[in-house]
Amino acid sequence: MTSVIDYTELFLTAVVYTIALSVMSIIGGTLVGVVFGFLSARRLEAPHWFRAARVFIDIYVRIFRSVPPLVLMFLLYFGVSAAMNLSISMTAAVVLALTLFVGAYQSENIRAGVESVPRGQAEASAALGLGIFSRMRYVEARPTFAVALPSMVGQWVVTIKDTSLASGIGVVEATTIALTVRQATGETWLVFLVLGVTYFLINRGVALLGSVLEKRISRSTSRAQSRAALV
Amino acid sequence: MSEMLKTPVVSLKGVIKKYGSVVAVNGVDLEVFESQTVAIIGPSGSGKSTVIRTINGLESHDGGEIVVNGVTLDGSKSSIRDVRNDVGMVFQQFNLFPYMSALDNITLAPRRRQGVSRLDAEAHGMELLEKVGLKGFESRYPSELSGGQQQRVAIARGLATKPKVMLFDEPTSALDPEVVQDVLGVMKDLAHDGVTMIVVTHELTFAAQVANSIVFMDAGVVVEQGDGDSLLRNPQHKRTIRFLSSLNASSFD
Repeated sequence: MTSVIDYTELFLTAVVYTIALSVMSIIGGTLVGVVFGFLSARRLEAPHWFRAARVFIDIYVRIFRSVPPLVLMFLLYFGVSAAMNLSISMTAAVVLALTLFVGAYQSENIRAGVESVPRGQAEASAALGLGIFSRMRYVEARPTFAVALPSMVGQWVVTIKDTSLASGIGVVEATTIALTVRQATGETWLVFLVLGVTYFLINRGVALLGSVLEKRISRSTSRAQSRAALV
Repeated sequence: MSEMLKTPVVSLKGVIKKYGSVVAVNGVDLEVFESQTVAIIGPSGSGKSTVIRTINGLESHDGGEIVVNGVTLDGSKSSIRDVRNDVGMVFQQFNLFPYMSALDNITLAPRRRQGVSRLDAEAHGMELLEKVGLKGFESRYPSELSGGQQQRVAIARGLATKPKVMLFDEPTSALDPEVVQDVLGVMKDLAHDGVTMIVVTHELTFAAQVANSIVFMDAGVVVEQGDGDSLLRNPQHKRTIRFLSSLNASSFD
């Protein structure tokens, strides 16, 4: 039996890989969510092709919210290569599975944010002749993110935790290495404690980043409101 | 009147608007000429707000014809876009963008839709703020402004795109009584400057003093139309008389 200490470097490398998988999946899921959420929101004077997109996005959301991410990884890694005779890397399978899974939730978060923007804002934008993309950028974006960001950060944390599922197809990330170290050393409790603390620390960091973003995004109105309250 | 020889800036002929089986506007005719102020009065539910919302396509119409500055609103995107280029609007609830300063609210459409440079848009915006009596308020956010101040910023925002006609949809109905006069004062100034305006309002004194023409609507139709003296002091129609007496019309002498 070797000592747990001997595996420090291997474990740290795996943690870096976990972080890399997380960052890619978070970016992917957020991009999918922002694009799909803004397209699928029900709102005044949306272009007709938005409505067509909404039908597609609704189906996507329903499917990917209902299938476990591990099953998605199996499907993409084993299923796609078997069915189409094309090889997809493990990393790509994991990132794609998490992007699609989390993207479905993020899309709903953003949609709810856009739909929370008061109707009068859309009417004022329309009366000013702003096109839909100007309206999104200048009128809807900030209130949308102010509403959606807390739930979006929650999904970022979910994404990081779900990268551990990649151990199910053998990706060399933190959980996989923890399982290996446990087998090699016989240490169970210490290994999983270290693994748990590692995820905890990464996620606290992300949650912290999230609250900084939340503050920045609502700064102008909250500043305005607190100043008004002082008067 | 020499104005009558010109083509109207806004022309409505037999305009109809339905919501399901409810007919909100049932054949309204209206002509507004350059530099005129037309006030539309009437009880709530009479269709007066719906009428002015059809003029810039916020409500589509189900019948009749609407022509604004030579452009016929035919339901097409391009006609709506062209018309909105010529029409400014002020809402009952102001509808300022809360995450933007007063000046940014005013310069948004000139910069992002009309391609005016930031410098020019802001210079024009500052002039407009001064015009509505809010010099020095350019960096305030809407939540830092009173209702009356917000509505005056909204008027400046509507004017910023240099429209041919301004629509006001009950601009003082959501305001505290003591600031109503500030907003009406700005609107009076605009009328004197020759801005073409259509104003849905309950302010009969304002209508009597400023409007070239007052339209009384009830149940989706124009019941009576005339200048301040004839319509308010000598109404012909029973429904007009009933409405005016319900508003204590004697108080506008």
